[in-house]
Amino acid sequence: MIGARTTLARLARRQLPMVSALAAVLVDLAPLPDAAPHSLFPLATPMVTFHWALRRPDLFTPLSFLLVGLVLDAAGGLPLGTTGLALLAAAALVHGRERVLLAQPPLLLWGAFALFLAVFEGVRWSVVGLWHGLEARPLGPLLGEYLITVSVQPLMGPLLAPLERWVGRIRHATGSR
Amino acid sequence: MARAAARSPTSEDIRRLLWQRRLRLWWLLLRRVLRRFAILSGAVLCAVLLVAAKLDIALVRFVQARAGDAAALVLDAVRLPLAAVGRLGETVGEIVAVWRENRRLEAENRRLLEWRREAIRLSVENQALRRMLAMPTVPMPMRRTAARVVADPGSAFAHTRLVDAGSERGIRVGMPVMDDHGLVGRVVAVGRWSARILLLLDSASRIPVVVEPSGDHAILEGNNGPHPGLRFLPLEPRVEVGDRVLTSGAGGLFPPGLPVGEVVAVGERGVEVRPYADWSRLDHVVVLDWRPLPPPPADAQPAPPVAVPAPAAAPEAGT
Repeated sequence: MIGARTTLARLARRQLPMVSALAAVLVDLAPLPDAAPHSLFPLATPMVTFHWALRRPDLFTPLSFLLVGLVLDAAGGLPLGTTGLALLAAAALVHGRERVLLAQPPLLLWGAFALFLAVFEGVRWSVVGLWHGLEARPLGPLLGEYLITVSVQPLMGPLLAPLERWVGRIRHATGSR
Repeated sequence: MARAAARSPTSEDIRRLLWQRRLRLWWLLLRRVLRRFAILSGAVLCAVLLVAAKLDIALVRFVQARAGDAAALVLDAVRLPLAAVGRLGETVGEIVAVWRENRRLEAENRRLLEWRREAIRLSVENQALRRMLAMPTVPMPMRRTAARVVADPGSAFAHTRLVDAGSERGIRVGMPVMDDHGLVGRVVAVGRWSARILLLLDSASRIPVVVEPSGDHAILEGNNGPHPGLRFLPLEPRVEVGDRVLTSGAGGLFPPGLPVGEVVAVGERGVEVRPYADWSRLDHVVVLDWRPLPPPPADAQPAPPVAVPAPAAAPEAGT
């Protein structure tokens, strides 16, 4: 009985990265008070997915990126597949390089996130532009959103650290550490 | 004895076993390929979904509408604690701003009282003139459905809102949406319990408007910024800062006379309009029961000219 409970608890803990990514989707979708449509807010979803893709690639696989993207598109009213494609393109940057990246100093890791987000935003911008018949979307809000997300991203590590400890021992797909 | 009772496998059993092994091998191979090329497979799936969505396949529309319903339910629950936190910050900000606001309002009140007197005088005059011309008054009374905003995509790409009223409450695609101050946008997708509103700020939004008092017709085009622009104005527009912008009703998309905004800039970059809608407090909206006019059939032809009989020659004066 205790064994079954432990197994269930372990299984539940292993879902935490995905659950926290879905919570980030909710945060991105929630109508924030005092939020004018042109106000810019940091995007929680790329920050959380980047965090888990580096820390727990065994639990946060490309399939997780795809699911998170599809949920965000479906609930957010974007063309279905846009965010999934953007997240997967960004994930390709870190996929298989997790240990190398984690060994870098924090400033370089921040730079890696800036690149990750640039790919994510770039793909979304292109796909939405193509969707609207090769119509170039305004770049101003996009740049604002990019800068604010990059500047807030270093706070995400300490926020997710308790969850990370709860998920358990760091175990990479490439082997445990 | 037991060994004798055991049935020796028939060729049918062996064939079935071989098929099972073959299927298992294919499945393992597919899984390995999918794992190795997971990102690529996901990207291909997304591309297929995008194409399906662009082709407006009913299944994709259905999935998106149901996802909107589910998101509306979840976000409705999430919204309360978020709103409480927001209200706390709002209260602090309001206390700081209240003194300045009070002085501004006093001055505005004096001006408005003057305007009110003028408006009453004009209204009386207007009614008298309408009686003389026997004109109907616009806008027409419409059924209104109040709805609560439950989701905001929160990105620089789409300026939409999800509200908690759908087809069950009579919401249909194309209906105009307003807040207390003015036009907010229009309904672009409807689920059973939710509907998606395209805000007039979105670059996909186009609204036929008229500028008062000049009467110039134009199209209000969203640009994803706070001030949408006026396009297709007449060659020599008579638009000035402070002019009111209302829906014109052209094309039957919106009822005429809905307040949209105020002209805030006229210059090289075009005419910019500040919408009346209060985006910072867009918690509740009203959906107007307006049915956009259906587009004419594709094969519609102009009516053939009707032969008009020549008027009878007027009798010569004095004959």
